[in-house]
Amino acid sequence: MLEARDVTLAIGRTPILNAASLAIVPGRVTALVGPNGAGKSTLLACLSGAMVPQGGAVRMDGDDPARLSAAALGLRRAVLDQTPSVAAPFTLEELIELGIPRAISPGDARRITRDASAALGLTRLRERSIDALSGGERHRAHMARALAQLNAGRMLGGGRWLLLDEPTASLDLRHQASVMQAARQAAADGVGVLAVLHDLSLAAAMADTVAVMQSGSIVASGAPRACLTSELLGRVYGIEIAVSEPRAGLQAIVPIYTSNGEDHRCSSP
Amino acid sequence: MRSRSLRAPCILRLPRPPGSEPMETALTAGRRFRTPALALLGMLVVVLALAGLGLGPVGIALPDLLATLAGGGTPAESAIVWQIRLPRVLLGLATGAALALAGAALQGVLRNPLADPGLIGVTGGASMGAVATIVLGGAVAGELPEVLRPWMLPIAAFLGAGLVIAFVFAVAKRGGETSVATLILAGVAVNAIAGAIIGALVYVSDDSQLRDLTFWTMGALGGSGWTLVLVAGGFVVAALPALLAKARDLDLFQLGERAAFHSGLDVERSKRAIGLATAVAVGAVTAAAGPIGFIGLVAPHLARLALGARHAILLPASALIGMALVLAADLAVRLAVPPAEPPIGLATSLIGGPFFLWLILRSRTVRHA
Repeated sequence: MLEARDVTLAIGRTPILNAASLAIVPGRVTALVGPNGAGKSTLLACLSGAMVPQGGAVRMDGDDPARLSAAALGLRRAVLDQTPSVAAPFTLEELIELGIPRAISPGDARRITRDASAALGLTRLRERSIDALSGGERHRAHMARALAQLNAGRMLGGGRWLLLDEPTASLDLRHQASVMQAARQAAADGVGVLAVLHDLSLAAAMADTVAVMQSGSIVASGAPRACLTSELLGRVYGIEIAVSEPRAGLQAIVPIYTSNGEDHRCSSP
Repeated sequence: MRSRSLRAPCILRLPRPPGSEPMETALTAGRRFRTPALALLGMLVVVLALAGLGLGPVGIALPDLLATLAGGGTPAESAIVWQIRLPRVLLGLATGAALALAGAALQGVLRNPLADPGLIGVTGGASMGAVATIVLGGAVAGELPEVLRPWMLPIAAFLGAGLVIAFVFAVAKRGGETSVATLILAGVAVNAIAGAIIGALVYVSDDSQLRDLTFWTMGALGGSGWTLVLVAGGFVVAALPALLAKARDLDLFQLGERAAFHSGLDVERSKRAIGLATAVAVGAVTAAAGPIGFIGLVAPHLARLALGARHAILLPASALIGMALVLAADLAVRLAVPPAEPPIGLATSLIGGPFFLWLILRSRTVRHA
């Protein structure tokens, strides 16, 4: 179990987390949703061991991540940051390999790298310089790096948790699906996955559990269909939100915009 | 792309033929020739070292040179090679390797291609320590046993360099990450302060110290003598493996400090180790050869352009290129107007200054492309 219990954190005098509690369970995908500034990334940082909360407790398999070494944490969990970047013109393959610790043999490292690039649809681009990739391709490359780190960790007796901060933010629909499928596959392999998501329909479709965050606290968590109600979401986001009836297991969750006019034509030359 | 302003790829990306697959740039092509390229660089260093031993006001042909190195040769040749040129070439090798590796390591940690031991004040700190020893050390040196005296200069330079590294990294720490812009600005401030202190020391120095200082501050490989060369070389030999061993750490630093931590790197510990090794290496060679500029900037750049960004190859390649550059610059100043010898710092700055400008202009055009 990867768990935050009544976690509190302030930066300066600004409270960011306010008694937030969240449990990630192995084999399940948990989606963390909520408006900008709700504290989602900070909560993820506390769970990953990158930030230490001022109050409450974080437990990763019973240990306080703040007390684990960076290397030990790197084996147990992999993290995809919100805006990943790399400052050197590595090839895609070299970037993915960065996540793999030296304890893994070169042969295994190559296999892990191949599998991770295949999972994200990047096989064709393996030799390319990162600079020659589009923004979406680059984001998937970093996701592949996190997956490679996770799978290398699994070979070394860890690889238990995958923490993703807006993994689909810059991706087209097809690649949103490929990233979330990779996350689902990790969960099927027994990994506990946490994904911060802004696309509520995607969260409803892909997550086993959803947690809704507002002003530093978790205000609802549970099955997506039970939690993501029009009433709760309207209150949390401060805008009217429509939740469709499930169809083929899918729900559309969209804000109700004011229409901008009457032109309904679409020309396709 | 917009937010990448201060980062390496903008500067390092090579022009691509329009409309072509982003295919084989020099970067990807270079990867295939890594081992042969290192061997080639190694051979270049050997050739330059032999040239450094053989060429000069008194030319020594290769067979005679090899005989002299093997212990034979005429007494005159033997004296020239063993007493003058060999310590000089060895100091050149140590200086080139130390400055280039320090530059590559600092650029790696800071994810910024403009970081150079000179620019962020490390060389300035080392100079301050060295100048203080030259001017004020006389009084202390009298008290020290003979064996310890050659150590004073490198240790003072190391302390100066270490102090500056610790200071600029501490100042630049913002919200758990190192701010590169702040660090470089802190380096500018440190350079100004070090310059003022050096100026004050020069002001109070006597005539003979003044002459020593003037030549020392322009950088020179000659005239250091075996003892100082061996002491400085010893420091460098201790520091270089420590830096070469950080290749994976430096690769991870390219992800940014937070993501490097996520990937299992103890960021602070690694920074401390790299900072310490850099201070030792830069301090030692600055003490012995004076502040030689731009090697730490130019060598890693050439290595990166030719052989890609992975530090496992970038570090040794930078070291070899640094050695070749310093030996070539030393040859150039020795052969330019013999028997006079302009200081080597003039040559490296003449090459390095325009190179630095080219980097800045290049990064500007690429960013707007």
